[in-house]
Amino acid sequence: MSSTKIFLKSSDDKTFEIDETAARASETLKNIIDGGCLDGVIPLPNVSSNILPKVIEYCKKHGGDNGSSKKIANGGVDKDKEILPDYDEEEDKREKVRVDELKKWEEEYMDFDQQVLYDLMLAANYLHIKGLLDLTVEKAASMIRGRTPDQIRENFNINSDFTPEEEEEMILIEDEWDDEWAFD
Amino acid sequence: MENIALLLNGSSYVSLYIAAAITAFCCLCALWAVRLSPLNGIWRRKLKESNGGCFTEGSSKKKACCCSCSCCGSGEASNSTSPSAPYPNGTAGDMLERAPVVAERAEGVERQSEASMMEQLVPEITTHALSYLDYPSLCRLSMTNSSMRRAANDDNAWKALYHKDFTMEQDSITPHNGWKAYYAATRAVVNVNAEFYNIIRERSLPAMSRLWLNADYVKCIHGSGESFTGYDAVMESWQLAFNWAGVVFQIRDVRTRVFTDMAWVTMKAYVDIETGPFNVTNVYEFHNGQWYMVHHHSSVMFIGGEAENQNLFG
Repeated sequence: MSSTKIFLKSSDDKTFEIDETAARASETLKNIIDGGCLDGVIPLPNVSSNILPKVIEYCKKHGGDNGSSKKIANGGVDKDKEILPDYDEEEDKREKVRVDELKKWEEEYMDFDQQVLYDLMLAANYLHIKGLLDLTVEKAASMIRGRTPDQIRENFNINSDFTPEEEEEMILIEDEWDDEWAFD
Repeated sequence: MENIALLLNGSSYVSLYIAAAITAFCCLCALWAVRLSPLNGIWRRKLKESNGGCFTEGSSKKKACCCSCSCCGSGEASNSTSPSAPYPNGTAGDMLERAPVVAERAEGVERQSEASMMEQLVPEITTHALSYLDYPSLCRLSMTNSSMRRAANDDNAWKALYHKDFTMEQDSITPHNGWKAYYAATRAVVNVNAEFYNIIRERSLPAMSRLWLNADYVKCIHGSGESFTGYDAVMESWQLAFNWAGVVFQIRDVRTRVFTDMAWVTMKAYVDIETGPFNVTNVYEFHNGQWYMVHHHSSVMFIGGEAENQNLFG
């Protein structure tokens, strides 16, 4: 595939350049490109110029593929096994290095504040970039998992609108859960 | 009224006076009624406003604990009906209303700093995020505030969780009271079923007698092939069994199907003695807020090896 350049225009009228192969990581962009409706610049009224470079960075890294490191790790190795029954260890090792490198990249890439996480989730959803959506949503979920309701509220700046009585009742229930989950 | 008075009028003056008095009284009554009724209405409404707040709050409190209660695994498939049913619609409506705000925000308009990120997400992303959560996390999220509670009660999230935690089977069923209630009921039954094996391990006849429904139709078919009918006979059989050493079963492939007040569980029970492993079917009935065993059937599992000789009828 040639490296045709595509131009994306953010909501605040700034234009960014991206390779066509990279742009194909987005289902939405892919459909526009394949649909032949490409008219110079693709306007993205739901993505601001703060967040678009971040999205492009992800697309560049992932080019054609569509998954996160986990998917590649699983899918990649399985595929090798299917196609080459006697696949060589060298190939396997290289694959592992690639996955490790990608994981490291993801770690660095995902180091941002909550506002960016939020905007990135919306952008990934809007542009149908499955890998990026999985990555960001998993990060949001990790901020909930294993936390107490108070910690979750703090993490997401959630204000409780429960009455003191309701709160009290919930504390009781939570204690019950703790008892139950202690056995899990 | 006056016509009646006139008719009465014919007889005598006395009756005329009486009639007049009655008419006047009736008019007064009517006036009273007319003047009072709207007043009454307003008054009542005012009362409702001041008091009603508490009432609604009270009922929403019930809802609050519903999630929790049903999660606690007390297994009230029917109890958790009403609160969980309205949620899916409620969530969708609420979230849609919020959608435009999200769009504005994405354009860089800084507003709504008091509302949190999680509350402003579009529903499809929220659902996606919830699918990454386990059962305790979903419950805890639902305890943060009311909009999170609506989100965390999402039917699809609970369906996904059910398939993750219990079985990929039962994909095409539509639980009457939603997946959350079904999840809670299933969890309750699974817990009771696990308790059955704890009791066997600990050889506790009192606990076993509390687990079974005291009815003449309960049946117990032990792995030995012996079968017993009726509560007393079944208990005697357990007493005999408990005279031996406690047996530690490992149960696998537990599959539970739950209806409002009946559930059956199938599983494989492994044990490291010369007998077994077993295919087991347990049936439970729901009475007075509790699941009781009404049927236990254990039979020695056919183990492969001579698979080519396998014949359904022996």
